[in-house]
Amino acid sequence: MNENLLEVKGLHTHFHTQDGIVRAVEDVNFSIKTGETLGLVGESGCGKSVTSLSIMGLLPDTSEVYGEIIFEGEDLLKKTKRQMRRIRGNDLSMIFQEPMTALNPVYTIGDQIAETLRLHQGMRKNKAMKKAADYLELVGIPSPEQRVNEYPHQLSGGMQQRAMIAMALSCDPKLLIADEPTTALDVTIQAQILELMKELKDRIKTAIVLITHDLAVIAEMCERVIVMYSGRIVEIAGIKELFKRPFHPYTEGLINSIPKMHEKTEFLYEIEGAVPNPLDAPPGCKFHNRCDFAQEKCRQNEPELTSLENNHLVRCFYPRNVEGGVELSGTQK
Amino acid sequence: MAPKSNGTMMQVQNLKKHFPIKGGILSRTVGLVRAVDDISFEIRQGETLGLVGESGCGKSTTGKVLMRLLEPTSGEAQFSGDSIFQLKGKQLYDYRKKVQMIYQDPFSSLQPRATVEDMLGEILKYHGLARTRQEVRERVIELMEMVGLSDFHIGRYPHEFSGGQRQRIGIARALSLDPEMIICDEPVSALDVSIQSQIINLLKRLQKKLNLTYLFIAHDLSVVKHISDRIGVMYLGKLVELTGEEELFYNPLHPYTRSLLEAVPIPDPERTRVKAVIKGDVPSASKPPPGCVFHTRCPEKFDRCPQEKPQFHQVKDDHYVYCHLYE
Amino acid sequence: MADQQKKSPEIRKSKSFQADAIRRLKKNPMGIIGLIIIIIFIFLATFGRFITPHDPFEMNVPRHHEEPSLEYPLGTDNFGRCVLSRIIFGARISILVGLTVIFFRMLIGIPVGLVSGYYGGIVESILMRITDAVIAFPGIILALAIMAVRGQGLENVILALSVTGWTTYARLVRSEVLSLREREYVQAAKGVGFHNLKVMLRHILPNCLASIIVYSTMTIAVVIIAEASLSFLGLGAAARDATWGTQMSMERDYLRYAWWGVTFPGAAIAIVVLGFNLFGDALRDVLDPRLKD
Repeated sequence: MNENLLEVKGLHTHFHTQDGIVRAVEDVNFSIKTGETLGLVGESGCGKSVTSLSIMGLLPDTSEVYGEIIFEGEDLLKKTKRQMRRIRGNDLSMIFQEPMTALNPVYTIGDQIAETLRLHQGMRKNKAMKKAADYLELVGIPSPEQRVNEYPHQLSGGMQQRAMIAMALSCDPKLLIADEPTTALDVTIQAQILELMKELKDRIKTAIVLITHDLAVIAEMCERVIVMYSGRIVEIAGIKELFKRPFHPYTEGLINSIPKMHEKTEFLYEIEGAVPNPLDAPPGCKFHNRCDFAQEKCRQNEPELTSLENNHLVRCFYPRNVEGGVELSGTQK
Repeated sequence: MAPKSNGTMMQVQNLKKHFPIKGGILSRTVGLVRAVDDISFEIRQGETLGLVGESGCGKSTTGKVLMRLLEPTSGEAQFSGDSIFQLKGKQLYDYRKKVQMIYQDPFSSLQPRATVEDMLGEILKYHGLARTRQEVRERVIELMEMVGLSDFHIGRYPHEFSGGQRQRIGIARALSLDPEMIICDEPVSALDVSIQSQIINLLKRLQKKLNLTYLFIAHDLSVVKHISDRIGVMYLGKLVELTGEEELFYNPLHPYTRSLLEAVPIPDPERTRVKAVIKGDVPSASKPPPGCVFHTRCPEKFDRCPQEKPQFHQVKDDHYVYCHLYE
Repeated sequence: MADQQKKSPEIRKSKSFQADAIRRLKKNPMGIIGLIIIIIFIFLATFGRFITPHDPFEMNVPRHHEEPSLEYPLGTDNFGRCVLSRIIFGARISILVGLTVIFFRMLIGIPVGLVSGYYGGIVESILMRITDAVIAFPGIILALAIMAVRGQGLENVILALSVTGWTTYARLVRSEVLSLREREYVQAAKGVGFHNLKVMLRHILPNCLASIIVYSTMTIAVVIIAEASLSFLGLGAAARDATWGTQMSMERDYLRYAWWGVTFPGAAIAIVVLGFNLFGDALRDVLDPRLKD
C-alpha cells in the first residue's frame, strides 16, 4: 500500500494568452503523506498558487494541465468535471486568501457550511445546521449557535477566516490546501489562526498544503518545504534542514533577505533584479541572472531536481552549504 | 508631557483626526471614527522614526495628515518652527518641497499614462527645478541612477516595470524635490520578499547619502525594527509606546507591544512561542472601549483600566508608554 | 549600473497605450465592422454631395414614387427626388447633429462631474442636485417644448438635445473621479504640490477619457435616433434639410405602395446606429475592461 496521500508527477500547467504561452508550472513532482503539513513557498508568479489550483481542478479552460495528480491512488486529471465536483469540498478542500470574497455575502455562515454537508453527506437541513454550529465551535468562534445565523459581513476578518476554515473542514477532508490563509490578516490575528491550524492539525489528522510567500509562517507551521521559482521546484527539504543548510542559492538568499528581529545588521542581503517574466524566462537555470554564484554552465543548461541527501532535493549545479562542494548534472536546453 | 529634545525636525502635539460617519437621508453625522486620537511625538533630525500597528490603528492617517493630504480635526504639528496645519499657498508649496511621501501600492501610485520622464519632468518644471528639456533629462537620469534604475528606463510607462522598479520610481519622485524628510507609508508591504530587502537597503543608503529624515510607517514589526532608530507602536488611534528600537525589543513595557512581539512569526523553525497568543479582535474605531483602549484584550488588565484613560507619559529616559501599570 | 542592466532582462520596447489599444482592437472583428461602417458614414457625410447620382433637391414630380431601378437605385420619393442621393446627403446632417450635441453635452457635463467629484461636500451636493433636477425633467418633452417655442431648425434641434443629455456625462465623470481621487498617484500629485486644477486636468481627467470616449461613441447613435425622431415628428430639421428623419416623416403616408421611401432612410439609421454600437462595444473592451460587466 502506498503511504502517499497525494502524488504529483511531472505536472505542467500552461496558459494560452494573447502574448504567447505562459508556462506557469513546469515539471513539478512532489508527494504528501497522510497527516503531513507541507509548505509551498515562493514569490509572486513562481507557480505556487497555480500548482494548487491544478490539483483542485479549478483552473480556467484557457489552461492546459499535463502530468499526473494521484490522489488516493486515482489520477485527478482523468476525472470528469462532475467527478471532480464530488471530490472537491469532500476529500479535497481549500482555504483562500481573502475570506470576504470567498464567502458568499447573501447567505448566512451556517447556510454555507450546511450546504456542503447536505451536498456531500446528504444531511437534513436541521442536522446540518447543528453540525455547522459544532464546526464553528471547533474553530474557536464564540457563541456559535448565534453566529450560524449571521452574514459574513457581520464577522471580523479573523472570524471570517475561522468560518472559512470551518467550512473547509466540514466534510473531514483528507487534504486541505491553504492558499495564503493569513496574508490578509493582522499579525495578532494571524498568530491566532496559525495556532488554530496547528491545534486542528493534531486533532483531525488532515494533511495540509500551506502556500505562502512568508518563510516565517512556513517555519512555524510545516514539517517539509518546497521552494518554487519561475514555475519550477528548486528545493525540497525538511524544515529545520532548509533553514540550517539551504542548498539552493535562491533559498539561501530568501532566508538572508528577511530582516531578523534578533540580529542587528546594517544592510540586508539583496537578491538583485526581479522575478523573470514567464513569457521571457532566461535560458539555462532560471535563476542564473540573479545568482551571485552563477557560472557559464548555469547560463546554458538547466539543472535537474536531484536528491543530494536523504529527502533533501535541489535544482542547482553548484549547491551551497555542502561540505567539499559537489557538481550536479542537468539537461542541455 | 509631549517629548521634546534638541534637533527636532517635526513636533506633533495632541493630534486628532476623526472621520464623520454620515447616515440617514439628510446625511447627518451619526458617529465618529477616531482614526487618530490625541497622539504626540517628535521626529528628530536625521533619524528614522518607525510607526507600527495593525490595520486601522491610525498609522497611515497620521502620515497623510502630516503630509497635509488630510486635514486634522485638532492638534498641532510644527516643522522647523512653522505650524504645518496653518500653511497656505506659497508656504504650503514650500513645505511640499521639504517633506515628501512614498506610497504603499506601486501599482496605483504612478500615473498610468505618463512615461517616467514626463512624470518627473512635470514635477521638476512645476517647481522650477529644471527648465529646459535638456535640464529635465539630466536631472531625471540622475534621479534614476540614485534609485538604481538605468537611463534607458526613462521613456517607459509604469505598466512596463515590475513592482520593485515602480517603487524605485516612487522613491525617485519623492527625491525629485530634494526633500529633508520623507514619510514612507508602507513602502515595502506590497513587494515580494527578495524585492523588499532591495528597497529597504536603498532607503537606508539614500538616508545616509542625502541626510534624510524618515517617518517609516509599516505593519511588519521586523521591517520596522530593522530600519528604525526609534519606534512608536499604535493601537486604535493611540500611540501606546514610543522608545528606541533596541529598548522596545528587549524591554517592551506596554502589554500590547509585548503581545505584538510575541505574535510576529519568526523565520526560525527551532523557536516556539513562549506565551499564549493574544485573544480577541481589535474593537471598532467608531466605538472605542472606555478607559484604556486596549483593556478588552489586555492580559494584565485591572480595575482601573476600563474606567480611566491612561496618560502617555515618560517612564524612563526616552521611553514613553500609555498604560496604567507604570503610573 | 552596468550590473543592473545586465541583470534586468527587459527587452520589450515601450508601447504606448494607443498602440496597445489598436493592437487589441485589431483582434475584435465586430469592432472592425463597426469601424468600417463609421468610416463609410463619415466619408459620405464629407464628400456625399460630389458622389450622389442625382441632385438630392432636384424635383421631378412626374416620376414620383418610382420603384428602385438602375437609374434610381433606391427609387424616388413623393417629389420624384432620388432617395439614394437624399440618404447620402442626409448623412452630413446626422453626423453634424451627433457630433455637435456630444460636444455641448461634454462641455457642460465633464466640468460638472469633475468639480463635484473632486471637491465633494457642499459643491458636490449643489451640482448633483441640479443634475438630478435636470434628469427629473422628461427629456423628450423639454425638447418638444424648445422646438415649439423656437421653431424648427437644426440649431434648435442641437440646443434641445444638448440641454438635457449632459447629465449622464456629469454622473459618469463624477463616479470615475470619486474612485480616481483616492488613487495613490492622485494623492502623490497633490503631495508634490500641484494645484487642484492641474491635478484635475492632468492626473484625473486623462484617466476618465476611456470611459468618456466609449460612452460618447454609444451616445452618438442615440442622438442620431433622437434627431431622426424629432424630425419624424415634424419638430426637427426643416423639411428642406433632407435629413433621414424628415425623409421618413414625409414618406410615411405612402408606405403602402412605395415602401422604399421610408424603408431605406430607416435602414440607413439602423446601420449607422449599429456601426456606432459595435464600435463602442469593442472600444469598451479595448480601452476599459472594467466597464465590461
